[in-house]
Amino acid sequence: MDVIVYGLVNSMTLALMAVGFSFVFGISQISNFAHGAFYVLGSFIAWGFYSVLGLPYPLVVLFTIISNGLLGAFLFWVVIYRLRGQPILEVIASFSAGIAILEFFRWVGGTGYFFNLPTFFSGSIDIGDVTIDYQRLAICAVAILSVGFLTVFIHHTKIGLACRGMAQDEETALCFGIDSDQVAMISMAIGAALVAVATITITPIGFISIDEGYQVIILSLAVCVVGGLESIFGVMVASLILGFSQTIVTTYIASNLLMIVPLLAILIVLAIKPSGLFGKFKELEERV
Amino acid sequence: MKKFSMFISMFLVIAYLIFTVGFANATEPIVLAWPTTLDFPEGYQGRDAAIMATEEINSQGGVNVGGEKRLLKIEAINTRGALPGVPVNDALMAYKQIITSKQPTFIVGGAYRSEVLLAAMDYVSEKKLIHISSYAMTPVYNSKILENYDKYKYFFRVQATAIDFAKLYPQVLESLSSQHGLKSAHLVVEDANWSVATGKFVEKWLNENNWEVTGFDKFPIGATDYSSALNKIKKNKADVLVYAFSTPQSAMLMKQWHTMKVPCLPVGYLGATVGQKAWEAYDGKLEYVVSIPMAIGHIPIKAWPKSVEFYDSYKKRWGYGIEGGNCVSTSYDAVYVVADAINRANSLDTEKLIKTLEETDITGAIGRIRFGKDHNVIFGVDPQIAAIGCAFQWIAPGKMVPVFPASISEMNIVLPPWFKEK
Repeated sequence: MDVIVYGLVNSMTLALMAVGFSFVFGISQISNFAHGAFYVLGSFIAWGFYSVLGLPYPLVVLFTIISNGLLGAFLFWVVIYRLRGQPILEVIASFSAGIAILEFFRWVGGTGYFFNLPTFFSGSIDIGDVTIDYQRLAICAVAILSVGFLTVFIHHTKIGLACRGMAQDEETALCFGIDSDQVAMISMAIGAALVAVATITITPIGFISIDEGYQVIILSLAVCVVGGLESIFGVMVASLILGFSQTIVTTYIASNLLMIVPLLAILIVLAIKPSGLFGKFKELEERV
Repeated sequence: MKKFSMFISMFLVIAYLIFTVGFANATEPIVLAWPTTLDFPEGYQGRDAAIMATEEINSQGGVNVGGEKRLLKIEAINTRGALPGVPVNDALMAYKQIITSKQPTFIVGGAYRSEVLLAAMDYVSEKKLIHISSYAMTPVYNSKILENYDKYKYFFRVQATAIDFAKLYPQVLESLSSQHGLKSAHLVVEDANWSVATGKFVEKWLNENNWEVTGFDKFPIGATDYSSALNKIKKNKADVLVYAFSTPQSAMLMKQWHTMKVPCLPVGYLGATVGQKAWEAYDGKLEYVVSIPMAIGHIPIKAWPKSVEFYDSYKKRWGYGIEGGNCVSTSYDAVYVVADAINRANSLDTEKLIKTLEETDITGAIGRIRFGKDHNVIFGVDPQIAAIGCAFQWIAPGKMVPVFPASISEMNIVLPPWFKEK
């Protein structure tokens, strides 16, 4: 029972981390490998608003999401805009920017248990003989809402459709009057905002950790590669596969193999089906 | 005229050399290089404690060298050696950089991680610099000194070895067993040399002393979910969660333990469970956790006033209390060991200093400080006789109460109320 409950929580955590990356990299075709850095950046922004400025927590959540989104747009204009159309350079530049952000926080002393965020709810509930805290249940709920929001957004809004059109064929999208640079910027902003939602929900169960930024990008990439870059449904399925795999491996084999699972998953999927389980439009090797 | 000009020029050059180089050497402080990882509280608070020690010593005039008073100065550099993914070689570069640029007389503090410390030994011994470690705990450091004294005689340590520290665990567990009759344990450790070795040592002791070992889980550095281990403990009804971690993010283990109300008692070392801010940061979810800081001074011990003096002075000097679970009080005492050695040698001659260091016998925040043949501070259970580690338990509202050893204990260990649900 505990494997089922914590496997599900782990899966939803992965989905919540990866949904923003999936939208930017998978759906909009912008290589934002600073995704993990934005996760950590969002948590420090929230910490600053809450612990330093003393704002009420609902405002902290709102301001953090907006700030992270604006910073995502800023990163696009400063780093990625100049390299658009050259995916390898986008990856290198965004990854380097991400490392710079993470190491900056380390340099200014952003380590220690005093960097933490409050939980939405305190307390726990028993599901059978498994005790689970309310914050972890909140992660599951927010993950489902985020995926739902993204599904509606990309299928039923002008900007979402523009993002998909731009990803399918940029030249044709331009002919339809879609400003691809503007849409790309909005896409980056939304991706950064989504990862801010993830960090505000997940970080309270522990502490702000700079090293988690590196883990988040690996996990998000694994989810997107396994699920298929263009598929939100694939993100959910991949999250469930990887989440349960990690839980089963750490419970029954060895706890220190936690990060081996997603890395192995990337290798296996790229070797057997590079487009991922539900990838639709292009094979991965054409994209990266 | 030409001869006169030459004479004046030579006079000026000689005068310059006397007044700058000569006098400069006499008034320049003695540099204590401090190459360690400064990213964790143990790292930077250890450095700050050392700076505080130098300020105290300097306020008394400094140390005696050949009849002259000289001041001490800490020059720190961040080796980053304890961070995940940083290669040992990068950390060693920092050692080389500070030795080359600051020309220290001593290296104090030293590498945070054992792998880096061991790698630095050959380079430092080539330079014939005295190295007093107060961070890393590998016993290999001492065995190298014993096996090749001539090469490694420059190395000393004011810190427990991993073996001294690991021995604390069985002592605390024995105390726990005699108080509450507990007899089963599950080990959860960080996947690093020191913690795995500690875990294996404790596991061996548990097996030899009729304890039931229900499991041994290793988590990678930086892991943030310990539910798999906690669920196993619940399932197997282990009495004690024996833990060994050093990184701040591993503190999630305690949060999860408390939230899940796992009916066991956590006993072990996790740096992020020491310090008043820890209580607030964890929303009080540290209550009942038994923590084993490797040396006293990290918490004030009423029975050893020097530890209280150090603890209070640190808070007064830096504006906040000690948050590091290790290496802070040892770093402070390491500087006093240096000062004492210099004063007794009355010289900076390396061979004389090695001899005086070997004869050290002072009282510090961690207890009585004397070195064994392996150049490590001798640890025991009575601060009047040796340096000591201790165990304390967190009790609401945010008190760190010493529970071991008996020489300093203020109460018996308390079991959490949900323990009875087993």
